[in-house]
Amino acid sequence: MTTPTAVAAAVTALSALVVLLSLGIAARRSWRRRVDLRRRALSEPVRPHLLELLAGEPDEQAAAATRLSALDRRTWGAVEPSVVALLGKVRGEGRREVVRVLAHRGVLARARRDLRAPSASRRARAAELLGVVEEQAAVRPLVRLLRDRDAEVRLAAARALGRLGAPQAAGPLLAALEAVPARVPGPVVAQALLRIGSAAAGAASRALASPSTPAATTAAEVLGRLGEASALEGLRERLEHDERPAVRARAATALGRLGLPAALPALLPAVGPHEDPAVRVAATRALGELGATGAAPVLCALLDDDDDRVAAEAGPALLRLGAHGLDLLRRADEDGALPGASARAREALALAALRGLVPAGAP
Amino acid sequence: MTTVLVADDDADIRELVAFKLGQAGYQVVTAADGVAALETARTTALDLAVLDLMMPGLSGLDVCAQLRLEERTASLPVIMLTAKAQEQDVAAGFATGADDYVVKPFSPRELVSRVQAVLARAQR
Repeated sequence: MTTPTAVAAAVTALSALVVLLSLGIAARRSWRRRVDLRRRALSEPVRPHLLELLAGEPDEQAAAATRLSALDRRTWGAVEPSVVALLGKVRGEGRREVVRVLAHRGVLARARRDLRAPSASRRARAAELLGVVEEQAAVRPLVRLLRDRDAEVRLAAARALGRLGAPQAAGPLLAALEAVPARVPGPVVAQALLRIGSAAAGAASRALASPSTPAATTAAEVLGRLGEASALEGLRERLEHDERPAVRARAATALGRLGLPAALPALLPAVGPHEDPAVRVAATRALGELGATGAAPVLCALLDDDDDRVAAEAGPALLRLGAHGLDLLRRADEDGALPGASARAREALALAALRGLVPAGAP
Repeated sequence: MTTVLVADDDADIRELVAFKLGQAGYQVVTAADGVAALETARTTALDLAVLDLMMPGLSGLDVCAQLRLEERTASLPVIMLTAKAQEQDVAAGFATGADDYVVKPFSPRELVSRVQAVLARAQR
């Protein structure tokens, strides 16, 4: 075969392939559209009953529950995604009615079976549903799914465990961060632990000393956001002795959130010039959050810090000290001996005026 | 008839809230984003607005702040509906002039009670 003939054959074959692919895509889209239309046609008439179930008066709810429980399989299949989608958005009696209908229709039993399904998307959907309905019996299998081979399934399991508020899931959730790479993203674990609440504090306190940086930083973040005063010692220990700047910085932030004056002796050295920049920034902000006037001289000095990020935090931190901090900022502004400090103080005072903390123009 | 604006980018929530408020005897108008909510508030005689905090374009906080700046809507009662339950978000809601705050997932019955209470306060 000559070269031009071979090129022409290749172009023809490629064109045919493109046409075939285009036809395939168009056919698939058309099929999806038809399925959606059919589903909508089946579910639209049932929609009012679903709204009555979720938000109706008690007699309406009972009638709607009866109607939805008696739907034929095809219609229920069309309406089920809407039922599940709405379930996570409401609470109260309507929600309990929906869970009863789902149980009656065997949806929950199917979800429990699907936690072991070969299809990852079915496992993930099942995990999500069991979390939304707060199925406490699903805690153990969901913990097992934190080690699933599929990332979406692990994510769904972590979110579900958070919704379930299961204290026994706190340790496994933090352990999921210790794998390299982490089996679940840190923010998802943090959100789940926050949903579990104070019952997760013990596991989080233990994880502070974890050799895994994501586990230790997430634990510190959670303890700070939970306001766990019992974590003060553990966080102080991390700030003073942990070798990892990321852990020290997160411990400083958490200590600020706790707002306990006892954190002051640990935070003051953390703004020193030899500390890591990220730790200094976090500790400066934390000193403001403590609201301890004992931090005022240090914060005033930091207004003129060589590191702009630290100096930028010092002004707002002084504002948080209240009238005393405002007074110090005014003095720093008027003093003028250190132009950098004056500028930072002026910025902070302007911010205070914007927030209505001082009358506009008062600085 | 008392008219309530329900603004939420989630169609399920809009439908659910509109259903419950309609059942409670209110006339309901809906908006799917902040810009549409603001436009509706400017052109419709409203008695109360239920605003989702997180909407594309203008957030519920942005809409509330703008309503407070405009003479026609400055005193329109506003209830914020949001998934964000953090203390600072609640504080931000009230700082922009919201009258009440309902956290998602929400109870439709509780929402109606809040609407009734805010409207009663506004009429005093």
